[in-house]
Amino acid sequence: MAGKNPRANLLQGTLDMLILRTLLYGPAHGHQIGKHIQRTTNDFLQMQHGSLYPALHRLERRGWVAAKWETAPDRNREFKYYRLTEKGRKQLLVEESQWKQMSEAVARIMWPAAEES
Amino acid sequence: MKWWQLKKRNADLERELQSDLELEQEEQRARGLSPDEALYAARRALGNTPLIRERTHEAWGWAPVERLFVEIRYALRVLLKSPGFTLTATLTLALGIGANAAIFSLVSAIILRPLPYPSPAQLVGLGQWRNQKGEGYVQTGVSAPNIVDIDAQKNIFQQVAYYRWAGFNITEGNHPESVDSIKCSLDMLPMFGVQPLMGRFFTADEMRPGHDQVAILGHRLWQTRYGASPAILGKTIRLDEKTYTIVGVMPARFRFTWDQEMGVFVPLALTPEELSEKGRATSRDLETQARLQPRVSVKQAQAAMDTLAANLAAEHPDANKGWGFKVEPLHAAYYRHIGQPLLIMSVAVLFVLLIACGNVANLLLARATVRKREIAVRAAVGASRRRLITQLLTESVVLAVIGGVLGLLLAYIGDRILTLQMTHYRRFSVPNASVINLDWRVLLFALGLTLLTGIIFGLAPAFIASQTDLNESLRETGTNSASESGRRRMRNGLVVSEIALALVLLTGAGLLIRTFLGLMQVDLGVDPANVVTMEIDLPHYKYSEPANQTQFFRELLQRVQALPGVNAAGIEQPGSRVFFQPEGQPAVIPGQEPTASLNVVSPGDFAALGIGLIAGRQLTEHDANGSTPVALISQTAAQRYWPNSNPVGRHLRILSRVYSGKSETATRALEIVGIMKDVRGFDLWEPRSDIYVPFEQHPISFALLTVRTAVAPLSVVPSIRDAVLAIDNEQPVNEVMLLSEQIARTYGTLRLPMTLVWIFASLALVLSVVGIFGVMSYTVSRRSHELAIRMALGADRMTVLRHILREGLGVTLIGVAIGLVAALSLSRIMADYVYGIKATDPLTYAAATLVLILASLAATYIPARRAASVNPMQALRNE
Repeated sequence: MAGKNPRANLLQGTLDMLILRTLLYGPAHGHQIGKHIQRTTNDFLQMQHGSLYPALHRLERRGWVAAKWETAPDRNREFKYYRLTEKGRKQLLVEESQWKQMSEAVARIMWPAAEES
Repeated sequence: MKWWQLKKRNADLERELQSDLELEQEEQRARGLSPDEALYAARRALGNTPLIRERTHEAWGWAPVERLFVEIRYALRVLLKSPGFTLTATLTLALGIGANAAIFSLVSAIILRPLPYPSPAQLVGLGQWRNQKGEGYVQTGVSAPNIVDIDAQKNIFQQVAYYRWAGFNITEGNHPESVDSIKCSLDMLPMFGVQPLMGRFFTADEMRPGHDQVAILGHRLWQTRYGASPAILGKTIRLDEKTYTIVGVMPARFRFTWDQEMGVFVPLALTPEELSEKGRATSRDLETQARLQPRVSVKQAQAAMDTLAANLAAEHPDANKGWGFKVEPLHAAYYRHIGQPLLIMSVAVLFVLLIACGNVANLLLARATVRKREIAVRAAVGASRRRLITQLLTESVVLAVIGGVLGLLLAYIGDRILTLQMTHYRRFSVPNASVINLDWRVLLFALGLTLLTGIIFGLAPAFIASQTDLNESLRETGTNSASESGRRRMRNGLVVSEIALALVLLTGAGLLIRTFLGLMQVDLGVDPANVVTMEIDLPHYKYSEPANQTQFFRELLQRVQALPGVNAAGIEQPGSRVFFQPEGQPAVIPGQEPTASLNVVSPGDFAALGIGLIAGRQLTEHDANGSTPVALISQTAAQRYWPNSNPVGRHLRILSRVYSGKSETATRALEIVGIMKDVRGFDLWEPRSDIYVPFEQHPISFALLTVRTAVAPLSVVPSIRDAVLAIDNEQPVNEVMLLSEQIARTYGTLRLPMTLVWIFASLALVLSVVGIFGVMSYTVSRRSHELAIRMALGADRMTVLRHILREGLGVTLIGVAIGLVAALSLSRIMADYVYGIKATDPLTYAAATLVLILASLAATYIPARRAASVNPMQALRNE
């Protein structure tokens, strides 16, 4: 079903990176991360919050993020906060540079004139 | 993450999703939506929660395990919904798996469990053997000088050890007590890699005659007789009126010859005569075992022994010509006699399991048809074929596991029964029988077998069931299709193989039964009614003179014969094998001497046992010391060694005993005065050559008292005991037994394996008949439409009946044909176990075939009649 939405397809490969990047600002819980990505992309990614959670748990299993139930500063209830680990930081750099190489490569083919100028 | 954290993880995820939902809901409400609308919006934003859960679970890495649990839960639910099917299938499998586990626990206890000694593979048994004319292969112990020569092969053997059974009486305290005991050589106990619990083993010095009055106690005797006293060393024990100093105690776990608990060990001091050149022929009764050097194989040892045997035969032709040495793994030597029966039982029981699998597979196939719609629905909502097969296989494995657990219960009961039977019939001599139980090997075997059967009987039905055409299945009708005929072929194939397997088992069981009946009709040569026997063993410390022994028995016989109710009484010392020279034959070639069992008897023994005279005369009281030495021979001996002449009046000369070589009559020629009918002893299968000599001319100290009575035989036993005590008030009488009981026991040892195979064959018959019944019933119910049309078009009931019967018969006949071929090719393993018939006995095969055909026709008849009694109008309306 994911195949029917090209944008969701794009998301699959880069979701991990987007989450890691979001967490660079500091610890956040799932809803916050989802909202941040939605708002920042002006809802272009049309992402359902739910799809974040498998990714978050995967990142946690790999040790790139750590999670802990903590009371939110502004309200009296607990949320599961994810924070970036050292390993996650390194991973983010790796993914970022891979993404850059990839998009540059794509760009060189798609807009060759732009490079010459 | 570990699997046991799954539950906590799950709660964690639920809480996380819930809080996301709530936050979203709050935000939506803040935008002014009503509570209900906000909830819906929040749910939309979150997405498909079951899918999220599933994906997240996969992220945890335990999804396959979780899925398996789901499958198992589902399978259990499905199975519980059809209790009839589940019960039939699990019971069938329980029978199959249970019977296999029970037989395998025999295999495990006897063959797989290593001997309880360090490096057991290095231990070998050594024996001398020769090919005896008329009797075939004869194996004995190894003579003392030969052992010395074998022991010299240091590159082959680490140790060569030997022993003799001793059978001491402890002659101190109030009553003499007999004790299992052996005399063993210096290396015997150290060779088993054991250390004494206390004290020491024997020294080389103690292996010399006159220095050998030392003893090592078995653990149990030390506990029961000496209260486990720690101060036992240095104390003495009186054995057969001789004093031995106790020098050691064996540890509790030690068993001699695999499973024997010995009371006393004493040194085996060989006499100078035994060790001299003469001993080569006169001490072949030494039971010999050895430990191979590391990295020497049994084969290499055998090759070295073959060379040695050839050399010894050349150097000492009188004693060693014709004799070879045999080296075999000690463990195998212990179970050799039971290996083949175990193989037969294992094959039989495996067949039962295969038939059981066939039946369950058939049940599953029939169910698959019924469940077609369910499977189609699952496929329609997105289950892949792989997933469907996994699910169906899970179901069959779950079935098998339930069957396996029940089967282990059956196996446990079976093991207890087997242990009882085998320890009861000691002559069946199953080593290690007391430890037949469900050990880890059996459990592992049962587990493997269970999973394997689950997959074997489940795989094909699962493949076929998952192969559904959605359109066709979801529509109500459409019963006859291509896949339907494939299923029918498979069902018939299963039944054909079941019938073939059942036929193999039936013929095997039939052969064993005919063998047993044949042996029951063997003329034992004795009349067992009203005969009681008992053992009298005169201690040699009291009766050291032959004249005293003979006097005791002479007086005893007079007293017993005079007792009221006694018709006849005699004594006999049952045969030990001897070499002899028949007169009027060419001189004996060393290595070719005729052998026979030498029985020392009193004249009354033949009357007591009811052994008939064929020619000549019986023994009388006049055949006493000082008169002409005489002998009687058995019919078989007469035919074998005096083939074309009358042996009565001829002479024979006893050369030496096969095992001990001792013979006090070696110089005397015995006149043959009569020929007796053959007597079969414990070996029912072969008549043997016997020589009978009078006890007055051949003094004995051990004898079996045989008494034929006019009244109930056991009622005279007290007065016989009194008669014994009247002569010697310390002389015990042992092993009082009815002759009929002894014979029943001998047959009992045969009956056990036969009964087992017979049980398996009956199971096989029942299961395969149930199989054909199931298939034919199913066929009839599937074809009711077609049959109704036939009948509506004018076929009468008989035609329909015959049609169905013919179809059932066709399947049966194919199975029978395959089964006959298989049974014939397997008949070789039965060849040693049949008596009076060939392993390819046509009558047995015909009878088994007939039984199977009749049984399956009967099983077909019921559904056939149902088909014929169908009301065509009703059947067609029901469509």
